[in-house]
Order: sequence, then C-alpha cells, then structure tokens
Amino acid sequence: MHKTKKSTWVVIAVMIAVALAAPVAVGPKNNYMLNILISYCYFGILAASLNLLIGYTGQMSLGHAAFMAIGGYAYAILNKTMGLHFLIAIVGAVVISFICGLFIGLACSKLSTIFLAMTTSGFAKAVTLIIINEKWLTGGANGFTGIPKLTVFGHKMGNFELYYVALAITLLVFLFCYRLIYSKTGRAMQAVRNAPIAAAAMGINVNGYKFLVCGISAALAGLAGCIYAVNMNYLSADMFNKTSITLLTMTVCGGMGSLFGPVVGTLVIGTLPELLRTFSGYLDGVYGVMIILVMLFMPEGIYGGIKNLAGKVMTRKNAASQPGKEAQDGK
Amino acid sequence: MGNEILLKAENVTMRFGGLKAVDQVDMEIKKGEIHALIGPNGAGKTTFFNVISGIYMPTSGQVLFDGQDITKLKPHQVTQKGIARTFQNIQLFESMSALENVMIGHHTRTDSTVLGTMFHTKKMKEAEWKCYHKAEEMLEFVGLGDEKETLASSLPYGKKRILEIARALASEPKIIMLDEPCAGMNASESNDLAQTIYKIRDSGITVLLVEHDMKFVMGISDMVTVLDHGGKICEGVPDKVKHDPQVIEAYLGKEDEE
Repeated sequence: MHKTKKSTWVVIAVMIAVALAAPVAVGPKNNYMLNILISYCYFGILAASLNLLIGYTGQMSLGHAAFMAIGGYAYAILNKTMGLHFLIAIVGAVVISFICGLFIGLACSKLSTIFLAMTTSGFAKAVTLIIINEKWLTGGANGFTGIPKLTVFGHKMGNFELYYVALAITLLVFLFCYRLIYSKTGRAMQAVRNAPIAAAAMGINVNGYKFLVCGISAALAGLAGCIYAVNMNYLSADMFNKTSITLLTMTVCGGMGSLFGPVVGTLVIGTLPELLRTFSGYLDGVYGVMIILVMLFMPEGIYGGIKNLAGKVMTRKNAASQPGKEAQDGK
Repeated sequence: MGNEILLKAENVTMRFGGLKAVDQVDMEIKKGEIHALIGPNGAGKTTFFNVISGIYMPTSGQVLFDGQDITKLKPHQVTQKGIARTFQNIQLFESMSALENVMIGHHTRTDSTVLGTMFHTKKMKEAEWKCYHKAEEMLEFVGLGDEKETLASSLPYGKKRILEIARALASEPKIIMLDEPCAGMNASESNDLAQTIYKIRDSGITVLLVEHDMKFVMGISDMVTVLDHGGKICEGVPDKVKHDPQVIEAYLGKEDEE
C-alpha cells in the first residue's frame, strides 16, 4: 500500500499555507496579482488533468485546451443564456466535457502516438471553428460577453473570494488525482503506458482505460474552464489558440508522471508571461527554448531534475561519511 | 494427477497472409501437469501461445478452457477466466516497483471502482490491502521477497524473468503459460526456476511452457508436444519424444539431405 513520506506531507502543508496566505499578502484589492493567482489554480488543474493523460496513461494530446473551451462555454451558456444556478452550470459543464472527452477516448483506443496527436490537434481546431461559426449560441468571433460573477446569498464574489473557491477546487482535484493514481485504476493506467501488451495479458482492458482516462481528464479540464470563464467574465475562441501548447509545456517541463510535476510546471510556466511582459513578442520562443533545454538536461522535467539532484547530493553525503564507518566495521 | 482436461485446442490454424504459422494443431493439456511445447525456431510456439492468450484470433479452429469456448475473447477476458502468461521478450512495467508490478497482476481479482477510489470507501481500502498482501505473498513465493521496492527496470535479467512469473501468478490463474522462462539464465538460476515451477504445479496450477533448453524441458515436463513448421509432429512423455525419429529430424535435419 502506498505511503507518502512525512517530508512530502510537510512540503504539501507549506505549499497550502503559502497558497492560503498569498492573496492576503498581495492585498485583496490587487486585481492584477489576484488574477495571476487564480490563473495558477486553473492552469494547475489543467496541467494535472493533462498529466493523467500523457504522464500516467501515455496518451498524447495536442488539443487539451479544447476541453477547457468546451467547459468554459458550456458553463457560460448554462449560467447566463439559460439562467441556471452556477453550481448546476458547473456540474453541467463538467458532464459535457466528460462526454466530449469520451469521444476523443474512442480515437485514443484506435490510434497511437503521432496519429493521436494529429487527431487531438484537429479536434481542437474543429472546436474553435464551431465556436466561431455558431454565433447564436457562443457569440461567434465577438466572444461571449458578460459572464456573471458568482453570487452566494446575494453577495457578489470579487477576485479575492473567487481565488479561495478556485484554490479549494484545485486542492480537491489534486486529492482526486492522488487517490486515483494510488489505486487499482492508477496502476492500470501506468501499466497501459509502460507495456500495453503485458497490461492486456494481466487482465487490464487497455482500450477501456484509455477511454475512461480521456473522459476524466476532459472533465477536469472542463472544470478549469469554468473557473476561467468566471474569472475572465468573457470568452472568445482565440483565447484558447495557444493554450494547448502552453499546457503541454507546463506538463512536460514540470515533470510527467508525478503529482508535483504539474504544480512546478504551472508555477514556472504560469509566471513566465508576467516576468517577460516587455518581451511578450518573444514569449513563444522562450517556451520553445525552455522545452529544448529541459528535454536535454532534465528529461524527467524540472521536478524530476530537482529530485535527481537532491538524490545525488544525498548519496554523496552518505558516501563521504561511509569510509570511516567501514573502517570501524573492519575492526 | 487427474485426467481432467483443462485446456483444449482443436484444429487451431493461424495464418498471416500466405504463411501458416500454426497449422491445424490439436492439443490437450491435463489439469495439474507440466506440459512443454517445443520445436525449432519459427515452429509457431509463440504464435500458438498468443492464440491461446487472446492476442491473436485464430484463422480457424477453437480453444476450449474448462469446457468454455475462449477463441474469440480479448486478452484481458482470457486472463479473467484464469489463464496467465509471461513473455519471451520481457514485458515488465519498467518504471514501477516489483511490488506494484505484481499488484497489477492481481488486477482482475481486485474489487474496487473509480467511485470507491474517489471517496476512499472502506471496501476499496480492504480490496487494496488484499491486493498488497497477495503481491507480497507472490514475491515471497518466487523468492523475490527482498526486492519489493526495487524498480523493475533495475532488476538483473534473471530476476526480471522471475518477476514476470510472480506477476502472472498474482492473477490467480488455473494455468500459467511460460514463454521461454529460462532464456538467458545460468545453470543455477534455471535450477532455481525448475524448483519454482514444481512449486507452482504443487499449488494446483497447471503449467504450459515453451522452452528451447532441451535438458530443462526433458527434466521437468510430464508431457511434451513438438511443433515444426506450424504443425504438430509428436506428443508424449519426454522419453518417447526424445527418441522419436521425426523430432530428431526436425532438430538435426534429415540424414540424406544435400
């Protein structure tokens, strides 16, 4: 049975404490910083969901932002156009994303590697085009405007409150991922990535699991889309153009196949555009260089790289204290 | 040893384009025996294995397991029925620990759902512990009790083969099919392996084995089937097979050739 180390729990506790204190530190009226903090939440969810798909199950997706868009638009339509309560709208958006994910799951179970990458990329393009052309539903190229803020008991939530809601959802998503990974389903997912033929011979329904994980991953991405929609109050198709690649960068650079990877990836890649605001024209170039460097020097991602480095330092320390010990043992 | 037939292949043919990899093979495997399948390279042994374990669907013929037709089942359904296998080219889940590998072997017998996982129900926790203990037990059984936390990728070659057997056993099979289990093992390792195979047989699991090492096969098998060019050329107890002219011919070539 999986046991998480005490030191890991300490790190998690510190991270949660920092996350809780952050909006107070930047000030409840500092909308610029609060928006960044909220973006960490939805990007975190998105990276974690993509990690389930790529990192754990080994299914390539180049169109993950499509599910975020589907979730966001579904929320906006359910909430504003149809006037449903935001909780129902969120559940509806997640269910719709889940179903769309299963649709891609069908492709997953038939295609592999590069073919799947092309299919998901095509899917994302198709979703964008549908959003632009179905004007009556989505507002078309002008975007979907005026998505209302969350209202609880007559109180309109500002970004300060929204951040805490988003953070709570993010933590729940990570708890879900943690439980999923250290379960029968999680082991089966990793088996599918490691050796599909052996996985099938162990009684794992390989296609069934690909199908299921696509659905789960899309549902989580849809959930992130809801937060995005509420935070932005506005959606348009071109907002999602580059997001798929950003998400891929976050997941791959952060470290695939670990729960901390997406967190590290989100914090690093999510902060870059803000730091490089003056060079925003070169942002994509910076992403490209980052991916190349990380792939060359830390193939397991930034998190994996740090972990390996820490491991090396530890063994060197042990090695340094070892000779004396051996000499004593010799006597 | 009873005379009950556990696995029966009737007229199994597997054709790849113009090539008949397995040609009308009949085979019966009795419950509780160690049955070996031998033959020169390219005789169709592994293909026959793949047909039984559901990776290939035979062009014609039938596979019956415990009286049920399993010809059209998918690999994971075949495992569910109680047929486990190992691979000639080792297929471990390399990035996972030895224990996790074996836990995956127990997949079909683990009773937990995604919803149970989400809410951490008591039933799910119990299922997980059961799976954990089963995996521990299987590692002890094959003598890998000390390698629980070792990554599969960092195990030495011989131990990888043994780990595959532990993983297959974790699925609680009625028959285990070993595809060249002692390939690349030294004498002492294959001797240990023979002991493990006897232990498996004694625990009530039937063993079907593909092997090249004649000494090994003749030593431990109750029954031997010989394939050559996809067809069955001989079947019987090791002593009979050893002296069969057709078998000798298949392995050493005809005297008057050239």
